[in-house]
Amino acid sequence: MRKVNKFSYDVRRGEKITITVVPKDFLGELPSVEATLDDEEDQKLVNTGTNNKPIFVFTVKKPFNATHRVFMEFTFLPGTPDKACYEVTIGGQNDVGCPCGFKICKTNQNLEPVISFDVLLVDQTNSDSESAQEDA
Amino acid sequence: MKKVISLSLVFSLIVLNSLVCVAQTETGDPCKKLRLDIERMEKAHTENFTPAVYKVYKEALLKAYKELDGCLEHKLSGASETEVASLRAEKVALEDKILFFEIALRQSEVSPNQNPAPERPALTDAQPQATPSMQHASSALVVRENGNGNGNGTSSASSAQPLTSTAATPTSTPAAQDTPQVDDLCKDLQPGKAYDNPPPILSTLVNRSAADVANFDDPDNAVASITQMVLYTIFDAASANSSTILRGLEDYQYLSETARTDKQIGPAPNSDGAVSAIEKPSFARLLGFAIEHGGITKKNNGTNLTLSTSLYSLYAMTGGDTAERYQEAGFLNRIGVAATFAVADQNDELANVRRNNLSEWSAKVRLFGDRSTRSKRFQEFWDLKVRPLIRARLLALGHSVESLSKQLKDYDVIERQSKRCLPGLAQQRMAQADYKAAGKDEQKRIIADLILQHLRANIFNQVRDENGKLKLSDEQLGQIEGDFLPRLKTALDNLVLADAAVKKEIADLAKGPLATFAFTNYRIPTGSDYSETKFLFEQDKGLFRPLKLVGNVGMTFYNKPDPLLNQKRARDFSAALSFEGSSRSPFTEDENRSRITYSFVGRYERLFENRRLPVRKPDIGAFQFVMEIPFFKGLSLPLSATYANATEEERKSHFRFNFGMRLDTDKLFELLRAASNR
Repeated sequence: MRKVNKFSYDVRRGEKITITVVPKDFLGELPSVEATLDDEEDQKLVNTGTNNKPIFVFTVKKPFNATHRVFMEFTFLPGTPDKACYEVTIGGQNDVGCPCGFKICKTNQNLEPVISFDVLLVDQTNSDSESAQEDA
Repeated sequence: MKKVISLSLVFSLIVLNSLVCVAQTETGDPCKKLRLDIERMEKAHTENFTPAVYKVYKEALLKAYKELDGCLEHKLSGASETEVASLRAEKVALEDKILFFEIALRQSEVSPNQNPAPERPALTDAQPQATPSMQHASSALVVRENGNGNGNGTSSASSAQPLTSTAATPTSTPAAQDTPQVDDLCKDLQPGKAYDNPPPILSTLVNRSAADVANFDDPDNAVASITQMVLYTIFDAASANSSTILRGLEDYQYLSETARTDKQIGPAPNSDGAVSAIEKPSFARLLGFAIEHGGITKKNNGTNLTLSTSLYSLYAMTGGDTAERYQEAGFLNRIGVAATFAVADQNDELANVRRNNLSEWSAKVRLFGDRSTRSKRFQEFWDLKVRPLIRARLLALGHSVESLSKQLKDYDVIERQSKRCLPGLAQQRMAQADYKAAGKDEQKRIIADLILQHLRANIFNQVRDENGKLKLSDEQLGQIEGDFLPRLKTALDNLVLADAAVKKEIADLAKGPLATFAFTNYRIPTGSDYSETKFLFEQDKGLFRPLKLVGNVGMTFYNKPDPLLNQKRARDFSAALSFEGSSRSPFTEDENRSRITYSFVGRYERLFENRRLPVRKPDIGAFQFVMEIPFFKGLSLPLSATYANATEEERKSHFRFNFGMRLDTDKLFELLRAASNR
């Protein structure tokens, strides 16, 4: 994975992407993060963590030059301390330009970022094996 | 020789430019003449210019642009209604050119040795192109490992923009790249065009993103929701009908902060500075205050200085306060402690924090009832009723984007162009003097305009133009009007209902039973210290609805009873009962849900040592009316009127009136936030 900006990354087909969300300074109030991948028809975004520390995982399955999009919405419920934040860390394989991710705080006005993963990196080894499989 | 030709050409251009003023008086339409002159200048063959000559040429052209801009401004003041729109459009395009030229000139001043060729605005189509810093605002490099293959041979690869194939080592952020990369995506970007009257759902999102850019000084925030912005712009451009449906959609408001009234930090109710004679059992905010101030918080009401903390806040000081740690802390988040000091030194309040000034310290333990949104009941409600609706909106967006992305071969590439180039454009705009000098609101407006103009030129027009890359078929139009927009509307409508349900559930949270046990140690400088144990209870959904019932029952004990003062171990028994009500405040802003609260409090105290003393009464009764009136900006006026048949020291009945002003910074913050969201 290679960072383009906080919300855009170049990825390889077959790469496993992990998005970890750590809610901080929420005290007794409930943190809530919702995330979906594309239209969830081909692949669902699985939360392998907990509501207190969601970990969303998916594998890049789209072809070269296509884009996976992770739609997110962060909620700050009433009573949440003013300095509460969600720290989002994004990781793939052989990451370049990382640490990758962003922070959404109660002071942010936009709470619905979309993370884009453009399939623009090509691993020649994988590419060859995939081509071979397709040929077969 | 080449240099001589170049110089003569530039000289003639400058002369031509200087004659513009004369021409203005000689022709009927001075703007028309200026347009012709600019057109001629733009057609000049600049490829043979030396850097110095090219700089002079750019300056001359910029001057001409500015004169035409002034001319249009003048013409607009006397223009008919039919002319205004076209003149404005021309002016906006012209201002874009001016902006780009000013940036280009500044860039060349910064790096005078740079070869001018790559940074030349392409003038053949009379539209300036991206400047170098725009070009390396982002890149679309393909990192090809172990060879120079051309992707995996899928069909979509063939529709790719011409990507630079290189084995470059990318740096952490595109802006940090040392050597400018020619970014084909950003080079193809169209200069912004005015986006008059954008749909509310789009402008709200753009304003939010612009605010995050300005507030956090981070241009990347401009593209946090570029996917939704692109989609909404396509919906707006698709057809008159889709635009109407889009404009009818609810302006999406996040499920967020509402006013809470269960806050009470301060001295015990019988302290001199206390307004209320009854103590509320909740101390949820104690945790928050303590954490926000590095473990311990202080509150000075003029008479008393209260320092408070919680075991959890101390626990969280090492390792931070994460949701996971909160869950791990278990009973620690049920215990809060506070100490109150008499204020003698108003100038240095922490100088009051010493043993001699300590008037009381206390600890509270929550026994049962949970009013936080972490309570099991609220979590179940949230998971069952709200999460699916938030998800439904995200899926409605995902469904629309995915469908269009699969059907329009350039959809992903065009969206990619925006998300990679906009941060660079925002960064350039933020570097300009007028942006730096502007206030926050103006900065937000500047960035919002930049984003909207970009969307208009690069998305809206790509849908509307006959040969646009996002030209929609009838079938796609049908999908937008009959599937995507109705689906999104349903999701948004459901979230409006969910918002109301969340507010009701949170209001109900504050109505459940809550009980805490409190221990307070009072330090009496001229008497005997004593300790109080108290059971505090609150119930809103009881027999007395709509009034809320709050009850306190407690006993106090002397630490060292003094027999000379008729003291025994047990000092007193007390009980207090309060009935609270609330009504809407006419003095607050629309978004401020704070209500006028009022309560009737009865308090009885049996003071054992006053028995058989003629000047004192053992049975002391008090009746109190307490009211708090919220005003605007988090300000409120708490007041109380108390009648008591005696005090602990005197048999005489008395009447006391207390009032003060309170500023709730939490509420103030939320109101400011809501106002800036509009």
